[in-house]
Formats: sequence, C-alpha cells, structure tokens
Amino acid sequence: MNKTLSKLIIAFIILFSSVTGVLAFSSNSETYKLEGEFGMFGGAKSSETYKMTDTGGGFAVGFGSSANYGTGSGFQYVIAEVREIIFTISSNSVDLESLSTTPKGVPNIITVTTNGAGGYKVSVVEDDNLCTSGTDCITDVSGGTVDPSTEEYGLGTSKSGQYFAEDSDCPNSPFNATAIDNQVRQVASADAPIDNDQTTLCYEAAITGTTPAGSYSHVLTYIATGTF
Amino acid sequence: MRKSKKSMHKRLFFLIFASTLVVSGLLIYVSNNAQAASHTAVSDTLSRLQSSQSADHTITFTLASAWNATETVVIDFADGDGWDTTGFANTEAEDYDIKWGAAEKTIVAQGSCAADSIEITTVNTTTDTFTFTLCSGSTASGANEVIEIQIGENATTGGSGNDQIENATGTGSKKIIITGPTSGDSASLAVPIMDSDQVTVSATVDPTITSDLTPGAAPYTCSLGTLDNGAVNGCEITNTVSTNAASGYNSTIVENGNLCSPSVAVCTYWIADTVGGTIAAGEEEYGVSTTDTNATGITADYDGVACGGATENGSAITGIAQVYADETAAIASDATTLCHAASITATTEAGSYSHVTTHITTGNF
Repeated sequence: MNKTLSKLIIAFIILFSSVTGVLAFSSNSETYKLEGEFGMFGGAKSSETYKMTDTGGGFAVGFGSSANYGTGSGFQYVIAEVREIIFTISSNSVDLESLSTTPKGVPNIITVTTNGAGGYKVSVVEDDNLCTSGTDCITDVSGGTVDPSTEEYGLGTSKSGQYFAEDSDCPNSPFNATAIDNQVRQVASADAPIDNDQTTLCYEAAITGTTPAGSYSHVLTYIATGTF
Repeated sequence: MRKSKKSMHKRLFFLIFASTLVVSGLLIYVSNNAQAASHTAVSDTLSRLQSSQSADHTITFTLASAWNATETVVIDFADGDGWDTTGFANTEAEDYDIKWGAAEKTIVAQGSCAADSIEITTVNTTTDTFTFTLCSGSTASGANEVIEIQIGENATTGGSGNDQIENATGTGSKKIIITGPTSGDSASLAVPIMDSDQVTVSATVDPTITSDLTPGAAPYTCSLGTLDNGAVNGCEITNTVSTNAASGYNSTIVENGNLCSPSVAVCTYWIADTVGGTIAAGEEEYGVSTTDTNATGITADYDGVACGGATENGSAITGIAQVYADETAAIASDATTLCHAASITATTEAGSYSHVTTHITTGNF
C-alpha cells in the first residue's frame, strides 16, 4: 500500500506541475486601491487542434459598460477580449446654415471602438432628401463633387474605400461627395479591432440663384455593426 | 482489535486521499481538454441603435460545425439589458427569415416541423431568447456555412414581419449570445446601443429677388419720337427678374396719369388710351403690349420684334397696377419686354406728351 500511495503522490505532483500558478497582488495609495485575487488554476494550453487559456477561482469577473466605455474584469476577460463595440456621433445636429453658390462643407465626427476580430462598419440612410416642409428639395450631388453655382448636396467621408466619396480635407475644397439615399450605405469601416477610430463626415452643399428659399432638413440614421 | 481499528483508519484515509486525487485529476483533465468551438464572423446589424427604439435584426455568423437535423440554435439577448421582445411568438413565422447559401429556409411554427424546415421552437419574451430547430429529416448545412437570421419587419419570406425587438434600455455595448447548433458551439457579439443614432441635417436658403430695367440707366426713358398719323410709333423697355421665391413673382405697371401735354399735372391734351387691343396707324391710341403672353393685366402680346409699324397690339395703361409679367416658380434672368406704342390722327393737338410709369415686382416666397 505504501508503494501505491507513493505512486499516487508522485502522479499528483506531476499532474499539478503542468498547471501554471496564478499570482495574487494587492496595491493601494491615497487615491486608488487594487484588489488582488488567488486563482485556483490557470494558464495556456494547446495541441495541434486547439489553443486555449483558462483560469479558475477568480472573483468579480464580468463585463460592464456605459455610453462611452466597455470594460471586462478578470483574467479571461482581458485575455479573451469580451465582445465590445462603442459608437459615438459628435453631434446629432448638423447645420449647414445659409447656403450660397459657393460650396461649403460642415464636418461631423463619428468614433468607433471595438474588439471585433473582423472590425466594424458604419452605414447611413436618409429618411428623405434635404427638403423644405413643402416640395422643394436640394438636388442630390452627381459627378463626385459639389460644384460652384450648382444645386448639389451630398456626403463625403475621410475613410477610403467606402460607398461615399473620400474627402480628407473637410471643410475645404475640393468638395468630394456622394448622394445620400434611402438605401443603407457604408460610410466608415475597419477590418480589425480598433480603438477610438475617428471618421470625419463632411456634409456639403451649394445652390444656384433659383434654389427656392426656405428651411431645408432631413434625418440621417447611422448604424454601426461589429464583426466578432 | 486495536490494531484492526488502526488499520481501518489507514484504509479510510487512503480511500479519501485516493478519491481526492482521482476527482482532482478528472477536473484538471476536463479543464485542459474542453473542445467547445466558436462561430466566427459573428455580427448583428440593427435597423436602429437608439435605446428603447424598436429595431430589426440581421444576425450572421459562420458555423463552427454543421447544423444537423434536430439541432437547435439559440439567440439570447442578455438579461438585465432591457431588451423587449414582446409581441414575438413561436406561432408567428412571418417575423423570422433564416438562410444559408442562397435559399431561404421555410420557417414553421412550433409543432409544425417538416423536413427541410426550421421550427420556431420557443420564444421566451421574459429571457428574450429565441430557439430555432432544424427539423428532423432535414438536410444538414455545410460545416462552415454562413447563417443569416433576420428577426423583425425585415423578414419577408413567407409573409412580412410585423414585430420588432425593442432595443436595450441603457446605452453602451450590449451582448448577444448564440449557442448551438452543435453542442458546445457558441458565439457572442455586441451591439452599440446609443442615446441617439440619428443626425438632423439642416440648411437655409435665404430669399432673394432682383429686378432691373433696360435699356439705359436711371432715370429710364422710353421715347416714342414724333408721332405720325401714318404709322404706329413704339419704344421698348425690358424688365429682367431673378428670384428664388418658391412661387415665383409678378411685375406690374401703373401710370401717374395719361400721356399728357404739356404735363400730367397740367394735362391740356392727352393721347387717348387704346381700346380693342390693337393700335392702328391713323387712329389716336396709346397703349402697351408685353412679351409675357399669359400676363393677367396687360393682355396685349408683343412678339418681341419691331415695336410699332402699321399696327401694334396694345392694352391701356391705367392708374391701377396691372400685371404684365409673372411666373409661378423660382426663375433666373427672366426678361419681359414692354412695347409702348402710339399713333395719332391728323387732328391730334400738337404738343410734347409724357407721363411716368412705375414698375413694381413682387416675389411670392
């Protein structure tokens, strides 16, 4: 029996020696306090067909977020990257003010943070053209730019490779723009996880002398999608 | 007896110790060899991202392994985030579209399973969980097929969806979990719920209107020359209007008095206003015609050439403003030419005749 017991103890030691230990920590000052923990087990494992990490025994793990941040607590949240996407629009109101025959552009910034492995995309769709409450509407831009003394309205983006024309120098000339319509059109994207990725959208317009006087408006809906 | 008791204690200790080792070993073995797989390229495109706003969902993911008959896929909107799936039911197949490859699958209500259909097995509006089962006898999907699940009014196959999921009540990154179809396979994704997902774009076009008389410069004159009973004398004055008034404009003409001699103030003699619409040589008549052929006040039309001659169309100018030009929409450089025309008889009193006409242009904004 003693021999058997010795074999079991040796097996036990070998078994547990393959597990990486988890170190606890604690630290504090007048302005902060960090809580440590004692994990039971944890580490990275792999074979030809899989890779994985694990921890056990941690406490206070979980995910939290507000409008402007997302956070994961616990070793596995840090390592495994909890699914997260945050999307903000710098202003929900863009006023082109008084239009003239000279083109103008007004910038608005959208920002995305995501740990989606496939990045993200942001699309936009309009409820209608830029119109008065009556039947007068500013003509959608054509030809890729908003030109002087031409009634045109459209949207440019600082991101390349989008549905909308690239305009990296808003609000200055050239006023590269593409018409917004009632189809969901891509205006920004990234193909990998990214932090605080800003895109400057440029709303651009010009009119002719006969563009009917009035107050014009429409509503754009922005949709951000992460790919995880 | 004492020795036997001691031996029994040793055996008991050994059994407990050995059991502990075996259980611990099994736990560690399990923790080192879990084989759960994750779907990839997982996303959910919503039609709206605003908190508490109703929205359609298009969920896509690449399967970790094939979806076989009788296996289920569960879509779970995380509890506590305030998603509201009220209105959805496992009896309303029109609210769901599911496909892989090009072909949409037939969606059936719970209890109506048939081969190559997908059953809405359960809809739990408390936990906001949807469970879909590939019916028995169905052909399995490919191993790494891209699955697309539409939930809401964006579902169109087999009827139009008429329910939408109300977004989470709070803002920030919100989690959605997919489990199945193969046991152990799962994925999670996040959507960015916002306090507002819309931008209102506004612009103003200020009202403008210009009116300019030609030829010459102010004060403008239109000289009929020396009148003659053998011809109709004429002179032109053109008003050019540009305006962005949505309903256009109108221009009127009004006189301070008849065409008098020696003046309107002391009107000893005057040229008679035209009647009948035409000014003929040898008749004492004075009037004006306009190139705006549908003017409502000055109805005599001017063809725009050779003001005067043997005859000329003419309407009397009066002390009441009469419209000689109008448009119903914004217009640029809209030129209207008036032809002032007069003739006399042999007995028309000699003298120097004149009057002043005033042009008023009004935009209809």
